[in-house]
Amino acid sequence: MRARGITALLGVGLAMGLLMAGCERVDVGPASSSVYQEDARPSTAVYGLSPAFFDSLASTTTLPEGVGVLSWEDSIAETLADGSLLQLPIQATFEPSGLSLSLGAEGGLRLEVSYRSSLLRSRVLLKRGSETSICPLDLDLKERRLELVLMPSSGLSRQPGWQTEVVEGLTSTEPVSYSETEPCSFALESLDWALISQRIDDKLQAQVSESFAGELRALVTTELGIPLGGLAMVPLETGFFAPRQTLLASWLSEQPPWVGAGFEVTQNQGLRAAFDLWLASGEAAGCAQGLSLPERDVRPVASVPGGGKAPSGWDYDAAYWVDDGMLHEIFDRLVLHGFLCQDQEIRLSDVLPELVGLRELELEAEGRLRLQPLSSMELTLLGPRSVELRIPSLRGQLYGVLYGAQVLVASWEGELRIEADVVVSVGGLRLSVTQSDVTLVSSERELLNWLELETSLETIVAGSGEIFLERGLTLALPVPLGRGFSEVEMSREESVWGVYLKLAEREP
Amino acid sequence: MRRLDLITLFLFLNLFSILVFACDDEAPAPVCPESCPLLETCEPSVGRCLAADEVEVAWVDQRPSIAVDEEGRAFVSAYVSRTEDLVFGVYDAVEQRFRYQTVASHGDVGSYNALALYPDGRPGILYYDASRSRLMYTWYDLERESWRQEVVDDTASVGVDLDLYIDKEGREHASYRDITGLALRYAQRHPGFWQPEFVDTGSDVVRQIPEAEQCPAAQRDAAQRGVGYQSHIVVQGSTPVISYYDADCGALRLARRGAEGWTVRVLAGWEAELEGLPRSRPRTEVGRFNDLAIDPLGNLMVAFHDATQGELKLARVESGTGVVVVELIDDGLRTRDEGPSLKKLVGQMPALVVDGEGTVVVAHLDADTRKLLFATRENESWRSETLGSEAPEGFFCDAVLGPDEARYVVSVNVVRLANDADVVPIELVVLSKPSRP
Repeated sequence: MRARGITALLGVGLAMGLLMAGCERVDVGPASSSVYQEDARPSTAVYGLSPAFFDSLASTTTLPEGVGVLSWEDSIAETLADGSLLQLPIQATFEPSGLSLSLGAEGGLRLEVSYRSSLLRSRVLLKRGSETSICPLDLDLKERRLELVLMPSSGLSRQPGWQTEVVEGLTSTEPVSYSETEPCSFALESLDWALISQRIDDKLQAQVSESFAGELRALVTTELGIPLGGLAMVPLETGFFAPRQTLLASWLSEQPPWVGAGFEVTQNQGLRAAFDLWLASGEAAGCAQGLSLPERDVRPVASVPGGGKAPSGWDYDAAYWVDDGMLHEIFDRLVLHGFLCQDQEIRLSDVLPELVGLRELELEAEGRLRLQPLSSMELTLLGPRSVELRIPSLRGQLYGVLYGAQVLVASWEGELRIEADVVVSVGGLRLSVTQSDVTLVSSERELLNWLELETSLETIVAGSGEIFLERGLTLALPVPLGRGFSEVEMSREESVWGVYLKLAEREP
Repeated sequence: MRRLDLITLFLFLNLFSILVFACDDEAPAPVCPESCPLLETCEPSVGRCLAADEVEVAWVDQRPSIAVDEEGRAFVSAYVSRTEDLVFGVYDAVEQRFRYQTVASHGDVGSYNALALYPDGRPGILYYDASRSRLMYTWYDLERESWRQEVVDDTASVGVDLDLYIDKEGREHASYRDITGLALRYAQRHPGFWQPEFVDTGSDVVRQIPEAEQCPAAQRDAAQRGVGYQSHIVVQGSTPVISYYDADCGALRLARRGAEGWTVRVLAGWEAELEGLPRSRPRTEVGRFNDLAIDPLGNLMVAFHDATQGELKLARVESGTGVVVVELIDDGLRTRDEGPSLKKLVGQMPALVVDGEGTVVVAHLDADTRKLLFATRENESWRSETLGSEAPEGFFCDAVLGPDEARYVVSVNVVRLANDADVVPIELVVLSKPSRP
């Protein structure tokens, strides 16, 4: 057993989240069900795992340590045909030795769990009338096999539902065997060992139904990287006028995002799960209050491409499809919650050496540059791995420190345009800025010589945008099998964005 | 001529002479009143009482301190950075300017100063002696008709971020920061000597401050800036109370002197559950600029700047229960004719005045325009506005309540120092009592 499974289990909590730089504290508590109801967007995202993924998965899945272990500390008591009473205490632990996961021919996921044989020492007690005989012996509980099929369940469940069907219970190719460790006063072979073997299987089978099936369902969901959580805005630590550690948006595992709409597993398509996204509501950040955001047309993802191929032809393992309106609404929320507000310390003397008419004020060397979004963010696909983010209206404010207090030195408004490549990274995707442009469209400078400083200001704003994207924006994805991704490609077909991912090779 | 004609002529000449004499005569010279107010003497050439006018004050680039007596006369103390002197000014309402005299000039003195009046109207000024890193006090001696100085505390490098309060019995109370110990100190004047004591050393023991409000030692080690910044003191009943800034944890604190010593509370800024690992710059910066007053019900009011959000807020500590209520005065958001609202930085350097009816006025700095804003409550909401063309342009200001409950505000526009002026006057604005809706 490997620790990877546990790591993956913990990773479920992350699921898909947008991790973005921010600046305003937004008090959004753990999402309540009412929030869920208000902001649910049914079937606006689809998660898929290709048949090729399952092919590579078939014999490589392992169980986390502790999962699937069956144990028995009890005694078999049987009244035999001759009226004698048999007691056989068994204290044993049955550990799974392997797990195989594949697409079932009739749909669903087929799981096979094998248990290694187990040797244990016990003693059989036979009571005939007033005579009691005790016979020490060694038992060999032969290798066993368990086969189940997990079928996606639909309905009102807010969890990714699976129905477990035990195709074959614990079976063994051979019955329990025994050997005497000391001479016995009665013939062991006279006992009904087939019945004893059946009792052991029944006991273990009950444990499979009571606990292991549930563990397997959770394990499968985890291993396949199926999102379990809801998108929520975690309170920001950052204030508009005092930059702090950024906080993130993420999934919360206790607030599932979907209601089991459109969840199926087939041999041809692999796994497809349509799920509902919701956005936790919260106060708008101070720097973005009053910002009127456009009305987005949010629609369910009606269909997604089949065939298991990315647009450029390679076999993908995992894919996400998200409605364009939904994606923009997520960005709108992030803007509204202040994630685009930037507040960074800059050295005035370095950046703006040509300050005109202000030297006498003895501004302190450390100033502050603040960027305030005045419009929503637009996202456009430029190529298979390239996107453009545009903020049509952005306000910049440059503050200097005078006698301990901050005063505005200059302000301006402009448009920020950034091109970025989508690259895979540990735990998800991130954007790597390849180009950024700032167009200054208006100015209300009061004390600066505008023309002399324009270039400097553009540099500052562009640099700030890059910081925001490269350090702040990460699309964290649930990783099937905890393996990470090696390749990514994006697509946009009508109103659906697609992200196709290839799993990284398993490390030796 | 007939006799009647002569009499008529006589009367006419008399009347004419009276009229002529009366028209040619100058108005009687104004004379000073029998006694001049304190700190003023009769100036016969103009026939009125005037304060000394010894100094042309230029380059006041620290916060002045204002006091107003029962007659509505305004006084200021201020630091003149060019000469490194402490000056005292009396407002001349006729000439509409302050007349200044130097009250301390030995070394670099007065860069921090606070003015208060005794019940009999005499001024006292607490000030920092930067040359010797000590806290000094000067007051006007009626018998000697001169200013006298004395050392308040020179036991360490002390005396910045100070404030002075003279209570109804004429007892002097001082709060100030200990630079050496990164602590807040308090001193009370007794006949012949000042008695300093520690208020808050940042050690944060449970008997002094609730555990949940304590600033962790690890955070103090990381920040290493200490407590006691921007202290303001009032006396509530007979209890000295001080508001100040804890720079290690970025929080506004309030200290109260009780029978068992000083107790401390965090009014805003530090929220233990949100704090992460220690950091050199605390997560919040709340209360670095603050001002303290008492309302007619005995509640403590602290106006403060929340730098984390760029806002002005008001904390009210209810008398008796000690319940703290913090409300937002000005979030800095300003609407525009077109486009979304803009966020401005407001609330720095607040000056708080509360009148006999509990009406609050807070003067504070608009960092974008560098003008003073005056925040008043209208019904349930607050409104911040300038005074139009008469608006003081900031930067430093102080405010106090005068007779008839008018608000007296002094300010210094340091920006003008750089742009066009060798002399920048301390401006006085008198705001009449706001009408109640």
